[in-house]
Order: sequence, then structure tokens, then C-alpha cells
Amino acid sequence: MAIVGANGIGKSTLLRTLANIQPSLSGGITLNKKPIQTYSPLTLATEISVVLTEHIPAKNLNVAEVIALGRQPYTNWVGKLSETDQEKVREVIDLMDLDSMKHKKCFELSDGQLQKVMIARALAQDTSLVILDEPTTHLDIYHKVSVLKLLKKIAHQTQKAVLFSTHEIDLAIQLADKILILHPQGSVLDSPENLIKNDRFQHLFPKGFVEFDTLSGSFKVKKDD
Amino acid sequence: MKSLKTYRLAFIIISVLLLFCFLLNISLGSVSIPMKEIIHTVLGQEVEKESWNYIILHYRIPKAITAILTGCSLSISGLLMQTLFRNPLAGPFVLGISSGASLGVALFIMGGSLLTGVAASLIVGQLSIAIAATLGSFVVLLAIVIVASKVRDTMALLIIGLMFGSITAAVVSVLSYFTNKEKLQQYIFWSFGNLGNLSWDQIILLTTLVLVGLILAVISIKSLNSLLLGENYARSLGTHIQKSRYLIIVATSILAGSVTAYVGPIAFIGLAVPHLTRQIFNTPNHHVLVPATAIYGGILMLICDTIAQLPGSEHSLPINAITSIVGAPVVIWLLVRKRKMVF
Amino acid sequence: MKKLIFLSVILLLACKKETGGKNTDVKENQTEKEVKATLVPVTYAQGFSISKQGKITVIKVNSPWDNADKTYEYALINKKDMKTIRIDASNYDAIIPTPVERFVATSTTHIPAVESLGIEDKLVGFPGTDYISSKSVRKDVENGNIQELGLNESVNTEVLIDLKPDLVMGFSIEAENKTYNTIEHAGIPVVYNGDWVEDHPLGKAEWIKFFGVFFDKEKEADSIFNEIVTSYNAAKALAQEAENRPTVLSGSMFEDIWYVPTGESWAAHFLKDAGADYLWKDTSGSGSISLNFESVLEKGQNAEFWIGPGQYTSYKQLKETNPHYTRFDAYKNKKIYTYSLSTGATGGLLYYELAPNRPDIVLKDIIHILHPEILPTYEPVFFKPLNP
Repeated sequence: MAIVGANGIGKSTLLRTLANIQPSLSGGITLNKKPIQTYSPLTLATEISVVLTEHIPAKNLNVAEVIALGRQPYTNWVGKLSETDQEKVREVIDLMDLDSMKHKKCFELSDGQLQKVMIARALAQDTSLVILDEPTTHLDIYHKVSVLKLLKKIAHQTQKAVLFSTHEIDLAIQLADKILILHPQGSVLDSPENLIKNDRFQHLFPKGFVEFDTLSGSFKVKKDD
Repeated sequence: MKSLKTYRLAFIIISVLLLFCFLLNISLGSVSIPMKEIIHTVLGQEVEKESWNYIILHYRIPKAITAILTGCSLSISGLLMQTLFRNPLAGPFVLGISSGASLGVALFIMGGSLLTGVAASLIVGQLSIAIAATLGSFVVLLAIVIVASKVRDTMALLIIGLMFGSITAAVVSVLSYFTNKEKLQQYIFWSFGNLGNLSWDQIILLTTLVLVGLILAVISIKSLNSLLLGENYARSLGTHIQKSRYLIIVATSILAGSVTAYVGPIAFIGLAVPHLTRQIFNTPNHHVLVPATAIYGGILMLICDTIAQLPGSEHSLPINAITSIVGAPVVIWLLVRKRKMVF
Repeated sequence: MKKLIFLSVILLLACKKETGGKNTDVKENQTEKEVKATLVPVTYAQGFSISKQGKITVIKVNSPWDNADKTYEYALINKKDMKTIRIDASNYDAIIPTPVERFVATSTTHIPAVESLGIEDKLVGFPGTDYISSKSVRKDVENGNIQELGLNESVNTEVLIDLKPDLVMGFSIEAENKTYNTIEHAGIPVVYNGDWVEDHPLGKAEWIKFFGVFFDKEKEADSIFNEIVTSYNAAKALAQEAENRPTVLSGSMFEDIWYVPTGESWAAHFLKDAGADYLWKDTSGSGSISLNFESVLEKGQNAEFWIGPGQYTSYKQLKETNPHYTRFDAYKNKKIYTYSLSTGATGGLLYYELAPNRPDIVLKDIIHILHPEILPTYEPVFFKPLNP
């Protein structure tokens, strides 16, 4: 499921609130029919994992170590990895095709590789919901597509809910199962097809420079008359 | 995550190194005592000269143990602070713990003369100084914890710690200005740092405190590792940020505060050893860093003390000068050699 | 070059002594144009010299502080002659009309000279008056005749300038004291008193002559000093006859560094003259050296006496501060003597004030401790046994 909207509409805020990284401004969130506040940080960590836009400070960690940190909610008081934990880490590395670089340090990786590692870390956390904040920024079109396709694969294969915000509306329309459009005049959640049909994308941005082409399902630069 | 096994060999080597440095430290000093006599003393056998027996059992060994305790605690608290604040310049004293201790000692030694004019220039006992320093760092710690509960941003906490440091330093300088010279002298000598003053009773007390601090540090390992990904990721991994922050601050205060109380503010070790360890082990993983930093801290402190004793000469140097003179070039050399800062 | 000058001063001094000149023949030979300089004898002190050049008395301070690379010359002219004498002021660091009527002293070591020369009424200001122990001077402090000038070395400049003294008797631990520059700019002459630099006990005491010239009390200063010399030498002679030379330990630790007076220091001179075998008599340099605890224990453990353990006043205090102290024989046998138990009415240590000026008393005190049989009825002034 993708979240789209103009800059400043509150995509990140929504995601961060959902992930309980920041307190909600108003309203409440329920997860599995229970208010999110009733979860202890630890149990919540087994339900929701995140991939954020911020850089990790410790660039000297290697890939395997970063992924293994995803197992923290399950490890004991010093954070020792059990057999199951190690098995899970190996599984994720295979799934994400990271075996060749698992001993590389984070500072040696490209942005795209790093993003894959962070997604792998979230997967290792083994949660029913994975929240990603703009996972495709700073990536070229090839990597954008590959990341989003990967997310789709994960969602379908592992039966996880994958929730991400993005500015790549064209790609979201092509790859997401559902899209949430955030808009000051009211937000809508539906499948991409229905949204196009109801012409919901047309008013996403202020009038002026871009318009939505319903036929191709993408935005075009408006020609000056 | 790499398991400890990968590092087992390295740990065996540095533990042996620590033991070697310990033996070297107790066998060298101003008075040259033959190796044979040292072994006899350690084994509790008859020694040629009674004063040698006393020097080794009641001066050198307590001093060496103090050196290890000091090195361990300051290095670990430096590591905790560097990870918590994600700042390579942080050290055990960024929270104003040492300035709190200094203020306690300054008030105790010099405050009296401020109130009563000349007053009998009594020299203040060693134990009272330790108590004053502990109280001083405890008060600052309390202030920090109260502030920490009000401030969400860890960086703001860092700056507040530095501000506390400035305030206490200012009070100390006012006190120094008005006190008489014997007391000022005593304060200054305390601030030079000194390892050779602890009796066995005091060492047992210090060891207990350091152990409590180390246990808290070990408990913090898991949250420290999650903090490597930043506070938001750490939170998403189930780390209770506020609680771990308290835990880390309390551990640091116990470690740095108790050591400072007994041996004075020892410079540099707390800042340098974590870097040294990171460079050598090339990992930010605290499962490795916590024990390795503790051992390296002990080793470095023993080496510094051995040098400070100027073996064979009647004189000795202040330990604080040596820690920086020996430590700084090592860190510079490592950074230049690797051309890259590992943090 | 400097050494050469120094040497010639010594030679001059020596010559002067040989001709048996007392200061009676000092003020002769005055022709109008060429004024011959005549040195006033200064025997033990190395830090100053006095020469009479006609109606001008020139005082030269060679070592105002330790290892000073600067000397000071002061011209003293009697107030009567001020109008008739022409003098090139640029040749001197200060020109001081004598006798001085109102002056400021800055160190407690200046106080005994004030008392013995009877010039208490001329002292108008002092920094840290609480440190003064002399009874006669304290009286003036209490009457408000002596203005408090602040604490320690930091003299309150404004109050001092407001006092308008004729002279400030200053001192400096190292290099020129910047406060004094301000005072000099205000037209108040400052002279550096270097009494504390002297290593010889009688050298320190001889600085009373330095005081004498400012107050027209040269004769009094001379006779007071000569009495001290006689008394000192007599005591010394007695001590040299003693059969044993007990071993002596001195100083105390800050943290674990032990500060012991060097063999050439002022304190060590007394020990030598009192017939002691001072354990560090072969060390050189002035003041004290810092030694590692180990080496002091090794050397001093069996010393018979421990004289001057710094600020400590009791055995209990020593033990509480550092249990290592209890390992010394002198501790076990209760043979520790301190000067820290003799204080004045407001807490100043008598030793710091009076001892430099009365080396004869210090010497007798120590002889009394080391060789009780020599001065059986003597009542010590500075050194007392440590409290339990």
C-alpha cells in the first residue's frame, strides 16, 4: 500500500505516528483492535518494523550486523543471537540476495544497496507490518523499480502488510495494491484503478504546472497555452 | 552479528597483555627491587627488606589495581557517552561529572577558608576528599537526570552538560582566588590526578562501585547497539529510549564519578581508549567494544603509570600529563595510518 | 657578564671586611664632582647591596625573585637634601625620600623587622592582616591604624593608591608584578624585597639592614643583626660539639609525591648547623624537590627525627591523610616536630613570619629537639611535638 500526496501534506508524519516514533497529534491508532499505546515498546517491535529516510550514524557496521540488529526484539538481555535468530538472518540475506556483500561495511555500499540492507533489516524483524518512509528517494529509476517490485514480492510472498510513502506516483499506480491519497480536502484510500476512474489524482497538486493523464495513468507537464 | 568467537583470540592476547603490564607495573618503581624479591612478596614469602615488602604490598599493588580500575571505568564511560551522544568528542566528563567532583572537593578544601578568613590551615584527609567528590558528582548527576527527563533531544543534554561544567569551573576559580595557598596547593595536587593513594579498604569500595557500573554498562549493551542505528530505529526495535538513557547516564556517573572521587580527574583516557579500541577491532559492535575497551583502558593506564613512576629515579611525574602525552600520539598514529575515522 | 659583576661585588664585600670598616667610615670623601661609592657591609645576604654615593644611598636588589634576570636600583635621599641634590632619575628604578613616614608591607616576613626597628606607627597598610602574629603590630591592626589591603598576593590597587603611602615594600614570586606597575604610575615608589630568595639563615635575617636604610635606622638594624649572628654562631658551636648526629627526615606528601627540602635550602642549613644528619643533604638546588613515596620510604624509614611535616599538626591527622606515614620510625617513636602548632592570635603561622628574621631561635629549637642535653632549660618557640 502506498501513500502519496504533495510535499508537506504529512506523509512522513503519518508514517512516523503509525510506527509510534512520534506521539499522535490527535486521534488514536489501533493495531489488531488494541490501542497502540497499550503495546510495550518491545511487543510493538514484533508487530511493526520501519525503514526511515535518516542515515544510520554507525557506518562502520557491516551488512550482516545491521540485519542481525533486526532480531533485537527477540534476543536476550545482552542481545545474544540464538540459532533461530541466525537462521532468520541467513534467510533474509538469501531472500534479498545480499550474500555477496554481507561482510561489507555500510560506508562501502551505494545508496541503493544500503536501502536494500535496511529493508532486509526490517524483514529480519519479522513483523506483520513493515512501514517505509520514501524508500525510493536518491535512487535511479532502475533501482526505484527494483525496490518497489521487491516490496510487492515481499508483501505477496510473506503475507506482510507493506506500507510506504512515495513521490513516484506513476510507479505506485503500477505496483501498489492500494493507494492512500492525502489531500487537504479529504483523503481517499482505494485501488489505483478506482482512483484513476474517479479522477482522484487530478487535484493532488495545486493547478498550474502538471496535469494527470488518465489514459497513461501518469502526470504530464502542462503545456503553456 | 559477528559472535564473540571471532574475537576470542584477540581477547586472549589482550588479557595476557593486561597481566603482563600489571606485573611490569609492580616490578618497576623508584626503588629497584630484585625480581626474586617481588615474586617472594607476591607469594607471601620472607623478603630481604621489610620496606620492600611494604612498598610492593601496600603501595605498588594497590596502585596497579587502582590503575586498572581507573582505566576500565573511564574508558567504558567514554564509550557509553560517545555512543549515546553519537559524538566522537564525547568523553566520561561531558556531563559535568568531573567538574561536579572538582566543585565538591574545592568547596570542601577551600570553602572553609572563604568563610572564616585564615582558619587553621588544616590539611584535609584523603577519605573526606573522596566523599566530597562523590557528593559533588552526585549532585551534578541528579541535576542531569532531572534535566534529561525534561529534554527530549540528546544533543541538548550534551550542551547542558557542558554548561554545568562551565558553571562549576567558574565557582571553583572564585574559591581558588580567595583561599590560602596551602589549600589551593592541595586542591591543585588533587586535580593533577593520582593513583597511589588508596588503601586496601578504599580499593575494595572502589572495586564494588566500578563493578556495579560495569554491570549496568553490560545491561546497556543491547540498547547501545540499537542506538548505533539512531534513536528512531532504536525505538522501532523495542528499545525504551528514555529508560536506556537513564541507565547509561547512571552507569557513566557511577564509573566516572567514583574513580574521579578517589584518583582525581584523569584526562584523556576516557576519550581516547574507545577510539583506540574501535580502530583496532574495527567494529562498532558493543558486544566486542565493551569488554575490549575495559581491557585496553586497564592496559593503557598501567603503561602510563609505569612511565609516570620514572623507574629508577627518585622522582615521578603527574599521571595526567602522561596519559595525554602517551595516548594522543597513539590515536593520531592510528587515524593517520588508517586514513579513515572509524566511529 | 652578570657573574663577573656578582663576583666583584663579593670581592668588594670581602675587601671591605678586611679593612675592618664599620659603617663609621661610610660618609667620608665627598668632593663636589666625583662622588666615590662606599659599600655598606652586607655579609650573608646575596640579594642586595647598599652603597653610599655622597648624600645618595643606592640600594641594589640583585635577585628580587628566584633566577631573576633583572636587578633593581633604588636611590634613597634624605628629605633635607632633596632640594639641593641633582640626580638623573632615569638611572634608578625609584627615588625615595627618606626617612619614609608611611609605608605598606606585603609579606609577613616584613613584620618582625617592623617590630624590632620600632616602626609600627609607619606601617599603614597590609594585605591579609589576619596573617600578622606580632603582638605589637597586631595592636595597630586592631586600632585600625593598619589598613586591610585584600587577600594574599592580590593587593587591592584602589585602596592602596588611596592610602598614598611613601613606599610599598613589595615582593614577587616570579617576574615583575603587574599590580606594582599601576601603583608606580600613581607615583608611589615600589621596592622589591627579595628576603625569601636567600638560602642562608643569616642571609634572610640580614635583610633587616635593607629596612634600616629606608627609615634612618641603619645603626639599630646593624646592632640587631649582629646580636642575631652572635647568638646563632654560639648555638651552632654548641651543637657541633654534640657526639651523635641523628638522622633527620623532613617534608610531607601531596597525594603521593613527597616534597623534601634540598640540601642547599634554607631549612637544610639549620639542620646542618644543629648537628643533624639530614638524609637529603647531598641534593642541590634551592627550595624543595619532589620525590616518589617509594624512595622516601626506602631512605627515610629509619630516620630518628622527622622535622617539619608541612601543615600537619597531629599523628592522627597524618594517619588519616595517608596511612603510609605510619610506616616511618619517627612516627612510631613519636619523634615528629612541627612548626604548624605555633600560631598568632588570628591564625597566622608564627614560623612563616618570624623564623626568617630570627634564625638563632630556629636553630636553638632544632638543637633542643635533636640534642636535648645541650640546651636543657630552653623553651622552644616554633617547633613543637605533634599532637597525638
